[in-house]
Amino acid sequence: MSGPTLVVLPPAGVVACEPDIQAATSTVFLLRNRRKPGNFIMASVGVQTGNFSYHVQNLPKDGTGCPGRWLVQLAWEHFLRQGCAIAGIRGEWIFGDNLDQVNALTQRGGMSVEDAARQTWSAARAAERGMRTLAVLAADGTPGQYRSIDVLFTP
Amino acid sequence: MIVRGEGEMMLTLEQDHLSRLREQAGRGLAPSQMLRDLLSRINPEEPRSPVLAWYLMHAFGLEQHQVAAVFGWDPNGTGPLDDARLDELLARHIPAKVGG
Repeated sequence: MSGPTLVVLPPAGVVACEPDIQAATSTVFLLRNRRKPGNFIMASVGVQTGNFSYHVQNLPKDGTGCPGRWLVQLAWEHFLRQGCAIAGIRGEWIFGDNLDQVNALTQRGGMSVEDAARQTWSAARAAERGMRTLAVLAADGTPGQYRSIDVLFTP
Repeated sequence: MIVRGEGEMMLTLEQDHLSRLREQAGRGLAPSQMLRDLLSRINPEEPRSPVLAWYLMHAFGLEQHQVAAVFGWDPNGTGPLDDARLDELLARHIPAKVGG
């Protein structure tokens, strides 16, 4: 690694959060928690599309570590400081909480995949950034048993 | 809040490894095999998945959501995605014939 050192103060009141920014460029942001290997965020902005994508993780779910919501905010602010004009937030949900939640909400004749996607953790993060319009670009599987869902949030 | 420092930081991506990934894809190697080979060469500190994802993005001009499967895969077979699922998902985006 090269370049200047960036130091991030963890939010007040959290336990075992020692942020270490490993990359902060105009297209990629990577921060890991030195105290918890399963806690990190990698985010990027597509050069051609201007879409923000991220993977945030805080495992095990034991109440410690850098909060995911805070990590997303750090990444978002980084790209805004870089002058990025973020067009949308792109997600490809193939495992994890968002996909699990959509499957839980769509099983047995429940919600549509679109309505379920609007109830996810990532949809809430998108809404916080003014990205409230959801497009489900692709969905592989059947209600309650989706294997992957591609989404795009735009203003 | 970021309290010190401006400008850019970069993890170093080795050009040799990027070229090797393209060459392996050109030979039709499965993405899981490519990533295991890459790990044997770079041995990044934990978490390893972001580094693997970044290599794939740079090697093949992909956006992050296109390599999302890497975050669910572990070479030891302990992740939510196994080799077959990883290969299926990444094969949608990694060009089959990219040459070395």
